[in-house]
Amino acid sequence: MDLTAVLLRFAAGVPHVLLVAVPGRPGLRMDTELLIRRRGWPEATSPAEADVLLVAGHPGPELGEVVESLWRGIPAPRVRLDLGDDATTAHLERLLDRLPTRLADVRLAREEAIAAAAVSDVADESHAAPAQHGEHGEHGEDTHAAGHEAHLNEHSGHAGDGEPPDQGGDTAHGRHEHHERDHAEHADSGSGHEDDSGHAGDHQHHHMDMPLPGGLAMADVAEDRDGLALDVLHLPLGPVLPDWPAGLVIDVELQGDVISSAEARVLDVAELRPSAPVAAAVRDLDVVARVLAVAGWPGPAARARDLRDRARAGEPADGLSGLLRLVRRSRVLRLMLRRVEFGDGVDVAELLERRLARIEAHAAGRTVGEPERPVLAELGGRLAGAEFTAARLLVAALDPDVDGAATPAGLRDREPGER
Amino acid sequence: MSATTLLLPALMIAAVWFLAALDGALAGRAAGRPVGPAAAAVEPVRATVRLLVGQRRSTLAADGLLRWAGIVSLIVAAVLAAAVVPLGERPLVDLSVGVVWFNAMEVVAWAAVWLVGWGPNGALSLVGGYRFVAQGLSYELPHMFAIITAALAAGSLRITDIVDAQAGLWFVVLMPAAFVAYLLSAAAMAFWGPFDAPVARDTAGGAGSELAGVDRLLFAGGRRLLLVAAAAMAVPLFLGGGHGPWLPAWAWVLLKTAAVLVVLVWLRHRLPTIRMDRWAEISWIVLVPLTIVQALVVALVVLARGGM
Repeated sequence: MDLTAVLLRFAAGVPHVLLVAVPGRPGLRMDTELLIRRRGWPEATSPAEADVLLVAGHPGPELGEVVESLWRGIPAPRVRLDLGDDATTAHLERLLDRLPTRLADVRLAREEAIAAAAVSDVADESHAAPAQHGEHGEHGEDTHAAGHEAHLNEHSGHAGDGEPPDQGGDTAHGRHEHHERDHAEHADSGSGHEDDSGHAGDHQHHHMDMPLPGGLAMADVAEDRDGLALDVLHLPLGPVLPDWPAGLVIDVELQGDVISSAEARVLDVAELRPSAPVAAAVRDLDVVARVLAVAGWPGPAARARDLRDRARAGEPADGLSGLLRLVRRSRVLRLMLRRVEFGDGVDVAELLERRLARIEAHAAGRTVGEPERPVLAELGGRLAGAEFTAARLLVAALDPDVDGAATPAGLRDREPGER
Repeated sequence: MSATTLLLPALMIAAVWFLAALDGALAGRAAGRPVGPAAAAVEPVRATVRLLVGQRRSTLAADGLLRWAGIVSLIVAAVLAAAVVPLGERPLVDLSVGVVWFNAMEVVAWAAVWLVGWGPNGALSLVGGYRFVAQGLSYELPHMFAIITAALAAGSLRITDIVDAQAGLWFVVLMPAAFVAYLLSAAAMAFWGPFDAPVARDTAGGAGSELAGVDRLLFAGGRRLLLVAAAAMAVPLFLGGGHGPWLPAWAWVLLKTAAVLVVLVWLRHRLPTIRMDRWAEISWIVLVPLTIVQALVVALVVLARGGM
């Protein structure tokens, strides 16, 4: 038992989990959030902070690609958990129970460190074939043999991602070819490199035709909203950001931290098979928790989430009135949320208050109509001119319906009123 | 001298541990999931170990040198700023321009955070860097008026002179508005909640979003060191330094510093993040005139006493 093992074991006691929510599976996301929080584990905000990549549902091809890219950006020691669409709480509990032991495995940590370093050494890595995962190594607990519907595959991750570092020199050419082909394959998604980096800050992807170091595109220059020439950065926001709707990507042009134009889409919309809709009371609390979290108020956000989970379990909502009072009395919160709007006079403070009123109505047993949710196409256009934080607050408060986006045409087609 | 030289970083690290433990305990309480004191005390140690054994990480076309320069200068600035704070009777370095020195070191943090945000070549990281520069422009003027008011009352820029001038009356009584402005700017300069927009969750960790392993540890540590330095500086400037009954001067300095830290941590969990697009207005329209009037009042008091 060497020092590294002892330290790894100690550190693995509280893993940081990066949760990837899959559109159409809000229930699974909430289950996962609850179980993680119950253990006192923090949710990672970025791949850099994460020890564990947890994919809550079976991702479609587009989201799957994003997940691969996220995984490449997570430093060792790391573990990846892929839940199938039908993962049960018991399965999830078992996986989470085993997590600390797996993170503390010295040999695994070393392999992961080598795999992660190989990726960051070679900028233009090929896309890993997802099928490689889980086929190698010591998977005594290979549960996906139990049947493909309860597909619950655990990737302990290893060098299968990217190539081992000792294959230098002559394989580099092969990588390039692979890369170009790969790029051509998804060129029809129309948005160039943005597809690849799930975490909006990453520029992991390589453009062959760009002369700059690392193959990155140079920022354009254009006039900003005040008429000054300023760099323009093309960037996808999402699909994996803290407190962000599952699978939502907003392709933005960013000048400084001001969005000059934006276009919203949901990944894998063609393959979306919506699960049972979330009860209105649960969703309202979920939205409130998100708005508070994005507004940088973690304590009350966590309490709102607790209430959400109680509402899901059908438990009494202890502490609801306390939370409502706290949120409504906060003058600083109101100052921060006021006048953050689409220009229709309804600001985030007002949207939050509407949700709070709806939550009160649910608690009192009154029936409440469905809130208006923005059409996806409209969402993008209306974010133009917003600052980064304002856009984040608006998306959280408006709660675009990514889970019910059953048809690619838009998000409004779902019948309102279901509970 | 050499013993004190070692003592200062050791004390600061102990204070950072205290700060992190307290923060964990209050975060748990605010979230409705109370943490026991033992667990709260262990968690900072675990977080440190986790980042020490964790792998470092680089992004595509990152500027590693600038990133390191940022991280290191954040820590160095915090320690150098604390060097002029009297730990008992005397500081590590008793500069005749101690107040200016402290202010200069604190502004180094602007460059540090900007570099850390710039270095990894990530958009969210850069947004975090931008935010801190905007924050600096908002908090710095009231901050400078606040600290200069203390120097004005003592008639000296030397920190020990300022402490001596408070033998009778603590400056917090004479200049409450300056003290409040200082406390707010102490949180803002260490981008500590509620002024934590540069590293906020909505940008996935902002300036620090791309850091892993020891880089993340040093950045987070440097930020807390800076907060400790700012909290410790409030003691000689406004809270009478080592003055107090019964206990020796060093004990009073430690106690008062801890008290200021408690207030700052409490404030963090009390309020949501304050963004600069809203705060700049309050800062410039309310706090700047307020601190100027405060300085004027103190100047009149000094004149009436026959000082200067």
